[in-house]
Amino acid sequence: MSLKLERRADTSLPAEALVLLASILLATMVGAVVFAAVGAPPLSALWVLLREPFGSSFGLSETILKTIPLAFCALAVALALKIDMWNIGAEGQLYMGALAGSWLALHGPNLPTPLRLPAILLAGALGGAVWAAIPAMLKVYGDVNEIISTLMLNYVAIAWVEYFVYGPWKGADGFPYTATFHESWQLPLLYRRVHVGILLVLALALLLYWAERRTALGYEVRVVGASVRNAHYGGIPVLSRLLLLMAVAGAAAGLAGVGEVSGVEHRLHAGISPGYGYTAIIIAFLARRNLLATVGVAFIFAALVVGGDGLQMAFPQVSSAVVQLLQGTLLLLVLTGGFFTRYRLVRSRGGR
Amino acid sequence: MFRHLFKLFTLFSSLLPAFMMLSSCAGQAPEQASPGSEGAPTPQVLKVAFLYVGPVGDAGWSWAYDQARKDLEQQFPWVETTYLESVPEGAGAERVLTQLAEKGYDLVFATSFGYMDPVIQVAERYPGVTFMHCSGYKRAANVGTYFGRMYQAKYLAGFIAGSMSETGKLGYVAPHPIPEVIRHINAFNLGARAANPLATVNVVWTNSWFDPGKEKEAALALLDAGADIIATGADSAAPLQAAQGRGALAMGYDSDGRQFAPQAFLTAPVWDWSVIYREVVQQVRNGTWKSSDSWTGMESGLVKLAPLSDLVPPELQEAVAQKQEAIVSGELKVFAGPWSWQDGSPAFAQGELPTDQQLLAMNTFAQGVVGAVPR
Repeated sequence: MSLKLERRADTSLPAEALVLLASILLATMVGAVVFAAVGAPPLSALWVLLREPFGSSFGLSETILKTIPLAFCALAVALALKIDMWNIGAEGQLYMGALAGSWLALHGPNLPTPLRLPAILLAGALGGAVWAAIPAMLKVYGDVNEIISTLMLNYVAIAWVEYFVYGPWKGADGFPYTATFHESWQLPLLYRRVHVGILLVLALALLLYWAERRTALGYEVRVVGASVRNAHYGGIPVLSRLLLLMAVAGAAAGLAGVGEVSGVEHRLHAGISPGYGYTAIIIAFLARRNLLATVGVAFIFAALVVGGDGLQMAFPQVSSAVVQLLQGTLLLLVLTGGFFTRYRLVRSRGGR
Repeated sequence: MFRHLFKLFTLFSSLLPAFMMLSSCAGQAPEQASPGSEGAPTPQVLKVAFLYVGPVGDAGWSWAYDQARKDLEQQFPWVETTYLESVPEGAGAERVLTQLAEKGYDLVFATSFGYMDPVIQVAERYPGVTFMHCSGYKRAANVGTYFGRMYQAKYLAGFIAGSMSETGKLGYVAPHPIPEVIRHINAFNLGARAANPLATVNVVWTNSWFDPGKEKEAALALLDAGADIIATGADSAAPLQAAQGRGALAMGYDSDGRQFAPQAFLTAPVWDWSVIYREVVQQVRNGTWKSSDSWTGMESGLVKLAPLSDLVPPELQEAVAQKQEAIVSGELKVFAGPWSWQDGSPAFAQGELPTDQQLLAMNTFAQGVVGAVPR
């Protein structure tokens, strides 16, 4: 007797929801074990993880603030996944968006004040789009694996930002950050530190979600994603669709970058992203490539970050790595769970 | 494995009391405070928080800081501390600082230069909280700044390196190209040249406070370039280990890291932050604290040279001890002229001394340093 995998006839939505719920529950239990192991009372630690991001207007506002770059980047990853492109480069696209926006705010042409905010957003989107178009072109014209090229370009983008903030744009006090942007280049705040980026990312997610389902372009992309050969056969210009989609994905990540410099930091420095572009990969997968769900999952991950800080404050023995451990566990469990919604283990007798 | 499971079991069986703690989980330290003597409105417990830029396990900067935090808890029963590690520099720190202020912390030590603007911003909104920012220059009524004249110990370390190097080429793993680091490299260089006027200090930047991988690569690149002694200004022990792997000598930084590379370790310029902490917590508690800038050196004990290892010959140990005495007494000034900038132009003439302002803004390498400050 042995075990073998068999594809299930159909996957049901309740089953998927059940898997997600079970995964969260299991991850929570793993978290409790870790807390206990380092000597923090598990229940109160979990409570802090929940209370910190949602329990006060301040906590909630910080969670929403963190959601903005995570959601933009997750959109960038999820969009590319629509056509089976692995965009590991949201981090670099974010940095290029921030670089382009900062250039405009600090050294660009002297635009009339009302044009400045649209212009800086456009610059950020363009910066990200150009940076994402490079691996897309390499893929289309050189058959270069986009996983490698997008990942490598992250380092290049960060090196460019470092070159400017350690070099020509260095602050007057000798520290590696640029001067502060003039107020007319700063995104307006909605509540506490939350800037208009949250509305932009919601609008973008809705727009893309709608476009995917209701436009000809969206239809074509879906066909390409399902089967490149069929798409060719159907006369869809596959390569140009691929380029376009990657550019839009890069633009989304670029908006994350410009949101950080123009809405939060008000200056450029080398550490504006603590790895949003990489966390975004986890988010896009957990959201099962669903563009609307990415925003929701990004919100949960933002809560994890904010809660993680509170956790450290309440229990110094809990290291900052624990939150990353929780994120990784969650991903692993959801992916495993997702596998079992599509396959099942069956016993086979004798057999080959 | 089973022991852990058992531990877990016992912990789960204690869930009920844990549940009852839910609403008050932030305050967990025992409160055995001695009440303020004259019934003054001083808080019974002083809640002190620390922000670290790296993990406390970095065996360097953040670790040295955390030692001083533990010292505080031992010294003063009325001090209650917490800390946050790996807090990103920049606006991200604003959330953490606000959370601390909201939680009722009385005193916050922000221990890296990149926390400067967030500290100023949060301090404005919470005038009742005292903030101490390390290595910055912006102050407010409730924000003080502090740092140490680490360049004194770096000078001594340079003197040892210059005396012991056979190639005359020293390697320096440098984090961020900012005045603090440039000052330290120049002091190391001046010390090395005091022993060997032809010594050079090769510099490789990592652009990061804590990145063991990059620090190791930088140290190896310096060794490849002919350096036989490696010094570092970054936070990990990776350069020490890289040097030991190649049979070269090395010096640590921030905290005594000899256990990481016993065959390479000469000494390390180290911080003893408890000197400042003890003073500040008492001032804040007594209500005598005032915003100021504190910048002391070896004379206060804030800056030290870790005990020299046996690899340093006895005569040299003696010479270093004499130089250290001269620094403490004020007889030896590290940056006293004459010396020149990297391009050969004179920096300070015979008998001339830079002001603190000039030291704090130092942005150019001295003659003898090989490498460039990014422009």
